[in-house]
Amino acid sequence: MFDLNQAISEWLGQLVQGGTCRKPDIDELESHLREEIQQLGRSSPLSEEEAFLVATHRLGDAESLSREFSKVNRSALWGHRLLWAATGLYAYLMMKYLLGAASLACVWIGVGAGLGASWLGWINVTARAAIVAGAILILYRMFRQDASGGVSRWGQKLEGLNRRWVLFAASVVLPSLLVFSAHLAMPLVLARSLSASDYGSMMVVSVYANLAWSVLLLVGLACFILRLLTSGRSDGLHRA
Amino acid sequence: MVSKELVAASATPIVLSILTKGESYGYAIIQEVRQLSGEQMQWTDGMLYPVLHRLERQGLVRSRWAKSETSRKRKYYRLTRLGTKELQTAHKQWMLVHSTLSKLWEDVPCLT
Repeated sequence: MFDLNQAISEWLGQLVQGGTCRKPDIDELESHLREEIQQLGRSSPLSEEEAFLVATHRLGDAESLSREFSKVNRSALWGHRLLWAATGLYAYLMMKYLLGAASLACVWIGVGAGLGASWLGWINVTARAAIVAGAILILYRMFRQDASGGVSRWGQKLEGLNRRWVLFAASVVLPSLLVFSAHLAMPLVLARSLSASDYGSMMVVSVYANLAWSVLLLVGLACFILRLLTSGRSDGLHRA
Repeated sequence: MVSKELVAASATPIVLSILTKGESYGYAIIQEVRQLSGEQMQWTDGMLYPVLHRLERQGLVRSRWAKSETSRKRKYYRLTRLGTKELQTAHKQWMLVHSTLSKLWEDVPCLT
């Protein structure tokens, strides 16, 4: 059964995702769409679904509309880009703190098992590498699911949760918990349970590992940006 | 059918001219253009809105949200004093183009 309200909100959703239309623009287009559908329903024998298809066709496709609106709404476009950049930064920082807290927890377990100082350094490094590899694997599988089977399980699960609670957890609980454990609790516990020289030798290994990790991250990021830039350029040519 | 370039170039004077009759909203403006041009000027409906917003940013029109008789939310646009001046300038230019072409085409057999 065709649901007009749902069809309209899905169609407008494409424009919202384009990021160049502001809320009043969307409202205005919705008003136009509904008026056209009503008019078509009155003046022709079209069904509601057919009228919807004709009206959206007349309004234009979402991609070219987004492009036209982007010429007028420069600030909205930059707001959208800034949102993505901030989300990326947030995800990176969360990952960094999670890594710090989790690897130090592994080291602490190593201390409990009575391992030597240089071993503790290697545990620190290996734990970080294992967590990063695990996260990449999970993300990869999530994307694969998205590509093969429509809406992913994760998306459905997130939608089921109360939005307000998710926001609260993401903006307050998770950051404070991770920062607290990565920068206060775990370093303090370790510094107190290891002798100064053991702590020093553990840190020497960690310093080298951090160096390698930073270089890898930067090289990876640079490759990613380069790839995006080159693919963007060929798209431009294709369109021209 | 009128070419894309000409549709784009004439959009501003057409919208401003329609608004001289009083305030109006997107859907009604498009219907009027469709009717006046005998369906020969086909706008992609959605493209009118960026044009209206640009005119508003330039101070040529002003807008307000209001409820229609069927209590639907609509954004109404009306001409400002600056918009009227702009229309007068555009009118002069288009009339010049029109009279030039008319004179050129007076005695061209293949065009009559």
